[in-house]
Amino acid sequence: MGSTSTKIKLRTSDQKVFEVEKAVAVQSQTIKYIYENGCPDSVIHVHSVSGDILSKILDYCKKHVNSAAGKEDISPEELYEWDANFVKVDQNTLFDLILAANCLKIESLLDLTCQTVANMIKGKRPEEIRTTFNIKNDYTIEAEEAVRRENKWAFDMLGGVGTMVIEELADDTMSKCVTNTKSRVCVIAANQIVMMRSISKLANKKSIDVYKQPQNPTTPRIKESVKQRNVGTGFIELFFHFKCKM
Amino acid sequence: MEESDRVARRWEDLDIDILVKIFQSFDIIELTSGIATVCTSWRMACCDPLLWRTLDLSMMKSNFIKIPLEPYVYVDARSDKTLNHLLKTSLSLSQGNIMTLIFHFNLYVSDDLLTYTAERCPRLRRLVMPAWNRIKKTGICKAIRIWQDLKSLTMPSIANPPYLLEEIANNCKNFSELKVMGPFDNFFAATIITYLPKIRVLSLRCSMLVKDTLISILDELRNLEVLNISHCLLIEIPPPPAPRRIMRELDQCVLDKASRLREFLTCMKDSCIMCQRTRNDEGLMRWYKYEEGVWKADEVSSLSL
Repeated sequence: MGSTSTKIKLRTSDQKVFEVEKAVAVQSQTIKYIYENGCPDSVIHVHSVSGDILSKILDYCKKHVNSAAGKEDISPEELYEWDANFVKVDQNTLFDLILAANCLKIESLLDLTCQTVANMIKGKRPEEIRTTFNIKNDYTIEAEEAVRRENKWAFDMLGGVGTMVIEELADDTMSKCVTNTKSRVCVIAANQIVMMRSISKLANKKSIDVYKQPQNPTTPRIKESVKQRNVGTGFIELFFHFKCKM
Repeated sequence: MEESDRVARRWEDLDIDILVKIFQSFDIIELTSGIATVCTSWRMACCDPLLWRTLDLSMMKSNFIKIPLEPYVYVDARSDKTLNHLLKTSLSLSQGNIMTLIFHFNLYVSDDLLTYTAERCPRLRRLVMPAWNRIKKTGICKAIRIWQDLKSLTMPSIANPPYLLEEIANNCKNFSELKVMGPFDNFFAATIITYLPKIRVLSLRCSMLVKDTLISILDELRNLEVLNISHCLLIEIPPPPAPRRIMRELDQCVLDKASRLREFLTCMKDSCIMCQRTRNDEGLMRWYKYEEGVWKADEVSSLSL
């Protein structure tokens, strides 16, 4: 019975000391490595884990070691249930458990906690995710605009939307857009410098209606309609539909 | 109790490897549904190459009907739009790291979309695209020219393979594995012998194959290591006036020639359901009639999905 009752001492970040069976402690690859390569008698420091978290982790390790060794009469389904209850904790604790499982290299616990978080994320829209985890949206207006623009003209090129909007594109890119689009309508933004004749020629060949936003959009003669479409990633795309003399 | 308990944890600062691990359990639809827009650090995790080695779109089918004129399928616009959107977002997040790209046999990729895709995964090594109805010669050639690292291709049987195999021969120096889904005639075999003589792995499972074609493959493709003709309808055409006959077993001549191969995969059992199906479908397998996912199998491990 000698080696099975070897104990290992662990000291946490808040100076609590835990004495645990070796079989339980070496569920952590980190502790295993330190134990096998250092002095087995001294206390192992787990600086990044607090007493409360380590206590929970040791419960987990003990349960899994006992079930695997047959010391506890527990079926796989019951163990699965036990695990599910184990992760029913507040968010802060869950976060700490993930970090600790990662740092202590306990793979099954890391898998369990990561899957729990994944389930909290699935099916939620970005705003909902931010609320759940109290995450600040640090996309600057410019960054979000840049991503949106990058996605928009590429998306339009594939005819994914009914109207193609051209703004801030170089001439050859614009020609490429008009040549490749499946849209029937193309709107050129007011600030876009464009060789209208060449674009019109291209557009006529493909029977695309080209409209140019006027410099001054508040001119009363101009009829405008706004189309708003949610494209599913949370970006709302706005299409201005102006008719004017070219 | 502890001061730290009351401080909210910063989930946006979670180690990127942990975030990647969490995202690894998401399927492609969940991954592209907006997680990347939560915050910039989560976007960075979403773009990790580990998540994008394989882009598997084989759960997506086009909403289409068959039509009597080219391209013989008409795809509903909304279905196209869904695919476009998914593919666009995936390609944007993948940042050029996709190595394997998989499409369903009923997913009719358009020519434009193929070009758009090729431009955004230039390091592609393996393509599985069983439906080419809407692909034009120019589109696929443009794509092949971009995919210089292409090693493995799963394609439908096409009537005129030379332009394609020539393009592969000129651009894809590492190309070594080919799977053809559909009837495989002597012309196709001759084209492979001409343009891809150094090919190493060839799978022609569940199709119709004439014995002479099989012999020429075995004779001429000297670098061939693996050949899969499982469940194929093997036809022997003796000199007239003898009629064609279906071969029930391989003769010694074929077996001798195939003995140099590292793996010669065959299955010609009457009791085998796949063999029966190939026979019923006369060598042109109607995958849509069978269980979901059965088309993905291949006795060659590097070609199965």
